Amino acid sequence: MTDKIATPRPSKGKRPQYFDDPNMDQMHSMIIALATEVSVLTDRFDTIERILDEKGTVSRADIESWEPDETTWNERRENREQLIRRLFRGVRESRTALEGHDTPVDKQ
Amino acid sequence: MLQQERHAVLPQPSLSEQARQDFLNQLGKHVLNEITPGNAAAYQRRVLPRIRAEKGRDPETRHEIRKEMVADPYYQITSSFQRTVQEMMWNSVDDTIQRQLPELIETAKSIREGDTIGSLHLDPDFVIPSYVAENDHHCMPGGYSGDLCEDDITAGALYDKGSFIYTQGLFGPRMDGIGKATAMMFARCFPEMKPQKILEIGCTAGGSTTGLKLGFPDAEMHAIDVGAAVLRYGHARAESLGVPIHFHQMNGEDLLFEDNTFDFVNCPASFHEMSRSAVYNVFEEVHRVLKPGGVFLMSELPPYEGQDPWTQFIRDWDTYNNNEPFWGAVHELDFAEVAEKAGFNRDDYWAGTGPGIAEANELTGAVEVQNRKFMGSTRGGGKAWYVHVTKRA
Repeated sequence: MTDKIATPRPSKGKRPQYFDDPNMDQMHSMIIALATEVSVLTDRFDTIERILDEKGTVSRADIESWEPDETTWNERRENREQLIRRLFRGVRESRTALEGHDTPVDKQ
Repeated sequence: MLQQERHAVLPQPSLSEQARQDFLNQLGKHVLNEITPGNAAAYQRRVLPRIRAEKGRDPETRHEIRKEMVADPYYQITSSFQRTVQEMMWNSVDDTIQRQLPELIETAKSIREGDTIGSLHLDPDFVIPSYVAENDHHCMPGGYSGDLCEDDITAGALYDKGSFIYTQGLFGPRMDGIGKATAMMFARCFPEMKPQKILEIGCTAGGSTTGLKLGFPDAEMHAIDVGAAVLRYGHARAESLGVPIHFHQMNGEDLLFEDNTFDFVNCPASFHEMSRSAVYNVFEEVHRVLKPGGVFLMSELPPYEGQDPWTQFIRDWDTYNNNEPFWGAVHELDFAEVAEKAGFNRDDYWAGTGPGIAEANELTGAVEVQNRKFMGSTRGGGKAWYVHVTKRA
């Protein structure tokens, strides 16, 4: 029997510090992890709701063995896209602001 | 939706792991296509005027740009997104593998010990070169050479499954796009040649190797890499797909093959993971093991030469942000000079573009290849950059 290998493992190599305060880097990765788990939960709820619609009852085994068809997968992709767009609202607005004004620099 | 083709050792995610991988894939794509392009405006409006004010001129190198860009808040947050998504993607795949590790190891072992069409040759005394041992390329935990337990296959599984997500399926359902593109390129450049014995250097999980073999069904195919776990996985994967390949744990700088052995040696985008001196050594060894008249064909991302400092800065993102310390250096290397030093004749050297992975996989219309990949390497559906050089007969 193979011993359990610790996971996740950090990768060897220098990790850049992006923000002036290193705690900001930590906070940023925590926010992305939280958003990811929200999406994971949303998919799981969706699975439960679809099984309930179909059968009226649900078991853990039903949930784990269920696989989305193409239509369901595309609906989920659209839902994830909406979640991502809400998540990035501020960043997108700062991009719009940066690109919104014509300056002498832009014309060169 | 583009899905990876199943084989005996491909890890299968649970419902939650799949959901996590789907989200990170989509998040990565969104950051790449919708968010990182804003850096151009941040540069034009904030960073370039600052450089001009300080230096009284435009920036002359990508390094001058990078020094200022790292202080720009838009660059900071977008790069933090890119890096974090990359780390989380690997970790999410790692979870899937570790949950199934005993079974995956057992499957690989039983394939190895059964009737095989290829072979696996590991070297218990093998020393991993430091440029692989001390760095986990593209942030893959454990890197190419991780060997975590007896008969481990983790590194191979992580590369196979993770890279499919990371490249957003561009390598193709079988992860064999690079090899298929290379076979197309070889056929275009050397239509008369029918190589009987082929070597691939830096095969990792054997994705490229199985693609290359499709183009040369009658040739004897050998593949080398340094990590035992990627080779065990690659061998089991190839056997499961019914492709005969002979895998060897070997350093490209010190090949254990006789002189004049191969008609064709391929190096599929492996040089950017090697130190500068290793690239020179590999070329020398390739020259030695090639038969007279034999061909060495390598692919890499195109060199930086001739590109403006801003474009170079964008393309160099991986050097500083994706654990690719050799990335920038290899894009500045004069491969013609390297080949000449190794014994090839400069007149027999050619460099230029050829078929890319999307073309090889007939994916050019698919949504997956329409990424703009603004910050970092080109991962769109464009042409690949090749070098070929022929040993004098």
